[in-house]
Amino acid sequence: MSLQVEHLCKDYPTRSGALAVLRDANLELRPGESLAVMGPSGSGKSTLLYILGTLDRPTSGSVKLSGKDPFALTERELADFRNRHVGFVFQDHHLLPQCSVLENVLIPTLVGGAEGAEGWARTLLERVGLSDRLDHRPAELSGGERQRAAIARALIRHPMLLLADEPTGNLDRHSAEKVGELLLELHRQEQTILVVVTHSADLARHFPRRLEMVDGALQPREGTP
Amino acid sequence: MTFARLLLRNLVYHRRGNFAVFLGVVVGTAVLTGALLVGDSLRGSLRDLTLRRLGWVDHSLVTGRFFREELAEKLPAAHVSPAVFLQGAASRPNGSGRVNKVVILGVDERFWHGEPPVGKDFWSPKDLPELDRRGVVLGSALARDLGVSKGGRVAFHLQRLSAAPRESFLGKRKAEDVLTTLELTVATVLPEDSFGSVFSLNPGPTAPRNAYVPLSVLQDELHSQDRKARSLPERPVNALLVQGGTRDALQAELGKRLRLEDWGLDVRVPKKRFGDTAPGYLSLESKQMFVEPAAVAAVKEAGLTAAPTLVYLFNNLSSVRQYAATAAAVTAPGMPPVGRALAAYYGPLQVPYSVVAALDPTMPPPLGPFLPKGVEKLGDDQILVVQWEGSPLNDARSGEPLALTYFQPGDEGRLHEETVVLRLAATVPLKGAFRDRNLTPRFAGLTDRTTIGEWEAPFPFDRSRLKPADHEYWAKHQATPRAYVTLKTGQKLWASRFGSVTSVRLVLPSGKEPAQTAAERILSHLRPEQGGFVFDDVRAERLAASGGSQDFGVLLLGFSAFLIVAALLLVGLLFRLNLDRRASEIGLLLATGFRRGAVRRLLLAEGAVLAALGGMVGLAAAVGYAWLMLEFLAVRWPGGLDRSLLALHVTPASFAIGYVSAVMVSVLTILWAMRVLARVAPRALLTGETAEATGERRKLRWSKWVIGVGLVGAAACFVAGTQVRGHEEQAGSFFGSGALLLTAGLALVWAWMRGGRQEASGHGISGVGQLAVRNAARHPVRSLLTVGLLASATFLVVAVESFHRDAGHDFLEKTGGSGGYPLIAESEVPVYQDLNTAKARADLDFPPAARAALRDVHFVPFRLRAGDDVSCLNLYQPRRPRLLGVPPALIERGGFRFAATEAKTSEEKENPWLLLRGRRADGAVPVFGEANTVTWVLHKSLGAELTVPDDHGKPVRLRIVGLFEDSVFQSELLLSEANFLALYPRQEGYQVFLIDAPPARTAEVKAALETALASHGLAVTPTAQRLESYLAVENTYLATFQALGGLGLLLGALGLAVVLLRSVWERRGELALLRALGFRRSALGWLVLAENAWLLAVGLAVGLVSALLAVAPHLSAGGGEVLWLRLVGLLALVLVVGLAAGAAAVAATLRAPLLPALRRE
Repeated sequence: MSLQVEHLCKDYPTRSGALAVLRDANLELRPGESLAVMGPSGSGKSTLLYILGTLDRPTSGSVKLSGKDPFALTERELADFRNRHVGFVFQDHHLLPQCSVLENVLIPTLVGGAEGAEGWARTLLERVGLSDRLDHRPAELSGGERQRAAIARALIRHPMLLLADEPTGNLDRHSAEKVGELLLELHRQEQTILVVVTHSADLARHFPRRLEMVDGALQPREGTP
Repeated sequence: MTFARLLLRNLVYHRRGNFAVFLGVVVGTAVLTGALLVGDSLRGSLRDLTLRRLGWVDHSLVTGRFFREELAEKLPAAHVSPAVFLQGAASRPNGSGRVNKVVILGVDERFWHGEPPVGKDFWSPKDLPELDRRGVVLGSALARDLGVSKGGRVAFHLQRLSAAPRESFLGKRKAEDVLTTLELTVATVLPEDSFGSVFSLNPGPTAPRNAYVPLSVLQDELHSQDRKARSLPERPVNALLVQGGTRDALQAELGKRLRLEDWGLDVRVPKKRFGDTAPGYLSLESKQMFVEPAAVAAVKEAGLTAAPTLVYLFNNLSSVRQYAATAAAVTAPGMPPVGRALAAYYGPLQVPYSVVAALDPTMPPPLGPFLPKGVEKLGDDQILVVQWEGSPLNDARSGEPLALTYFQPGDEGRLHEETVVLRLAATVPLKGAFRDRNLTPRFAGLTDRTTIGEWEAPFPFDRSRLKPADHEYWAKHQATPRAYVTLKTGQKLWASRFGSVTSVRLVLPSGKEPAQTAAERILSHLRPEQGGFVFDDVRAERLAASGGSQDFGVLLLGFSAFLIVAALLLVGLLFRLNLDRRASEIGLLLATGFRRGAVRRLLLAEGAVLAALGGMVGLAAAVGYAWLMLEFLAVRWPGGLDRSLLALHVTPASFAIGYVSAVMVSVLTILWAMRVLARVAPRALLTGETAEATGERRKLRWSKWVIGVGLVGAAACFVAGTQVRGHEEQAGSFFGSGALLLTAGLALVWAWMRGGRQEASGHGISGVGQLAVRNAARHPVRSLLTVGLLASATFLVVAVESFHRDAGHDFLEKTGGSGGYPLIAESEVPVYQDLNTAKARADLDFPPAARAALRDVHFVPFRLRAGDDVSCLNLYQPRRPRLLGVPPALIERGGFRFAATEAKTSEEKENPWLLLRGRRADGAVPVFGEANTVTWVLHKSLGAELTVPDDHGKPVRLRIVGLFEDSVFQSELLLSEANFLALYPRQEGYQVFLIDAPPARTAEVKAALETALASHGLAVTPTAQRLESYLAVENTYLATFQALGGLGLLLGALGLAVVLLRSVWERRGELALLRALGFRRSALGWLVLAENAWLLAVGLAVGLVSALLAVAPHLSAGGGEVLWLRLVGLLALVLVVGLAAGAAAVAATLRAPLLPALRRE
């Protein structure tokens, strides 16, 4: 069980030719390991995250989770793969405004089986501190609460890979701190592979392993092991 | 959490966007189902009308001859009412308030089938009331049109009975012989909706003008007309109305119960009169002079020994010596033509006004022989002359040529005097078989006169030619023939379409059986159909016809197609806008492992729920839409339709079809709108993007191809349109040209928007304008859809406007739709004379003023076989088309405009009317019809055939060999008079007239004719007006199409506003930013409005230019008239509505607070 990324490249076509966003990225992470990827805007870190989460395809190179290449899967299998093995936390929480907190957490179970899901959702929400907000709508929550609900949603299917794109980007310092801690705590409890993309040095500080994305290339972050 | 719950949450949360989609489906369903409901309503209304008109009547028998009322008894049916049906005109006694197309029904209480109006005694009086106290019950329509009420007097103008066919040489054709007036007092006027007011065997939207007279009163009137002829049975009727039973059973029973007198036949036992020889045979005779061919055939089939006999009245029999001398005299210089006639008629060797018999002279007694001793055979060129006291030919020698002069009836009541020269076989003494006055059947006005001077001769009769010996002969022998020829010779000379035999002398095998036996044997071989005794399953037939000649539902669906497409495009557009707004939501679902299929199903389920709910509400709206359309049709239909007749009918089938179709099409549209999901990456969706980032070059190339092909195709179609000849082909070419130009125009707009080279520079109004135009190109699909919708709607509305029809500038030309005749007339009572002659005008008692007005007026008379109007004015499906017999003179003359003919020879191409002559090789009768009538009402084409029954019920094939274009002949099919008379020999006289009158005097001629022939019920109509009434139907369709196209255009404009609203809403952050940068609200308002106006203007301009190109040749040829003011008004309305809706959208958006929008950005 590991995440292996080898020679990962990503180009985007533009009017003036191909634009390389990701260049020869290599990475290996095991369950329980976490990684913070930092870097300036447009450096390609979100692209890396979306490719790891199979929401985007690499131009070349490979991504393997437990030795399996998700991009070799059919469209249907890929969707199932994403549902079963990947959890996403976005900067913009992307909660469905029409659904309650509990329902939002349960959304991924609509396609991936619902046995015991509601109990697990309640447990997760309790663990993120929202047990008294189950029936509230996203509009009735604070930014931090919304992001906690999004973390609970990301974990509902016991994913192997937990990906977070600027999870604290829209939060104040206090909320960001709490969300970051919560994310790491749950990651440890669930023994997931956690990859976080962030600008926040405060959040990155909590991660034992940190990489810097510079012009599409991954480099060890200064001061990290 | 379940799918259903998520679905419900989505529906509720996105209710605003969903409501717009829902409304689109409502409109689509309403229009689609509403069109079907209009079809239902028209069919249902016609069906209701049919049932109301027919009342209790299931079967009917209406014949052209009178039969015994007794036939109504004991028929296998629940109820039978015998009746007399007469058609005519009515007026108040002073001649005012004259109305045509009046049906006078002689009925008794059986007709009323319950409580009759005015009480039972009125309908079955014990004693016939005095003439001036006789009453009539009027239907409400007739009373209203006449302007009379209870107690008023009404004069009915009817055709008088005739003892002989009017077009035979003994037929009487003068006005006083043809017309009769029946003056009655109105006993009551029936209520508007009562059975009597609406009853008709030929249901139509126009209320029938019914007048009910007690059957016994009308029978008495008929008998008074028939007093001399004694041709009617005792209680004559000409119709049976039946409730229940089956047609076959009724027909079978009728066949058993008909008697010879119902056929107008009689088996007479000739009696010996003073001095005559006892004949010893029976004589089958007709009460209408000629024994009809079916009866002659029946005698033959009955195996009776029979001698068909034809007697004829000759004007003169003279020695050819006299004749030759006269001829010589004619050639002599100075001898005027009148001298010849005088010499021939008044010479010493003449036998005037006598009967000649044509028979088989070899028949054994008692049917002959008619050969004197020494003569074994009578040749076909020979004649036997009877010797009588004082005959100038008593001394004529055998072999001597004799000239026999007689009248031959010609066209339009003209009598031609013909002469045949026959050799004298022998003179025979007036005894034995020769002394038999029974050879000449009784004929009122001639044979029943005691002196020859008392004859009521309908032909030119010069009493001065009679000599004392002639009077003496008549006194002793009356109509005993004075000459004999063979039957073959007689039939060759005197047979007509009415028959070739005046009696059939019969001998029964035993020679002693009564006349009744002979009658029964003949009857057993006469089929009722041969005499027109045919029961119609009138209810089933009329109900089948009430299906209509057009499926109005489908027609209106076609008209509404654009509106439906507009509504669906709006549905697609709105749904797509919803998707745009929910892109990140969709992206999230994909990110959490939803398959695209699952997301699509979720969204489709949402769309389906919206479509299902919208469809349901749409069904309710459909009822309103159908009601509105019915109102529109009722108002716009030529002459107006009684709105009470056109009631809304709703059938579950139409609801089901409309609902399922609308929901299915809406769901498909939603599927189409969702296709974007298949292409956009989840990551892009998460960021709110739904547009594709790649593929622009390919699409641009594609649109350039469309522009090129469209322009070339448009040019090609345009050129082709100038080359082809047919109206339809031309219209198709030009319309195709416009449509291709429209496509090219839209492709150009697309290419421009996708080209991305729109520059925005400058400042002030110009800068704002340029920015607006650039903004319009930001969402090319949306913009193209709205521009396309507007352009297509404009194209249709403008193109249709230009197809508004009128008679055309060359209508009154010989080669125009009128054939060069400015007036057309139709009479209720046939005219038997040639109206072009002064004699006819005198015979018909034309007043001097009318004669003066008609001095340079020429008539072309047509024979009419009444039937169903086959024009688009008839909402029912015609079953038996109305037929016109075209006179030879018009066939020779030619004229009129043809859309297509089967002409092959140059002569036929020069004058297609020649195609009507004769019959086709396979026996089909060639006919002409109007192109639209044939195509849309009869659902036939050139060369197609249809079958109609002839006078004897035998099916005859009519082949369409020519199609008129925009002709006055749209209600009928035309065939040659010769073919007409062969099919309908009993149809006499002329009822339709084309009238050539000086254009400046048409009103004067119309007034003079309608006055002179008022009693004939003549109605004169300008041909242009007649054509306008037909074109009005077409124009009503166009107006409907245009109105619906206009609604589609408005929907397009509203759609544009919705698109704009969404667009502005999406860009509210950007707009807020502009405000933050110092832009005034008004400047932003102008910016958005300019974008809206630009899209509107592009849409209208592309549509308008394409349409004008499409119709330019049509307009330049004077084919249509564009109501420019109305058109400009409509387009201006669209522009205003579009701008106003856009302005409202902009105002609503710009009123939003600045900060939230900026924050969102």
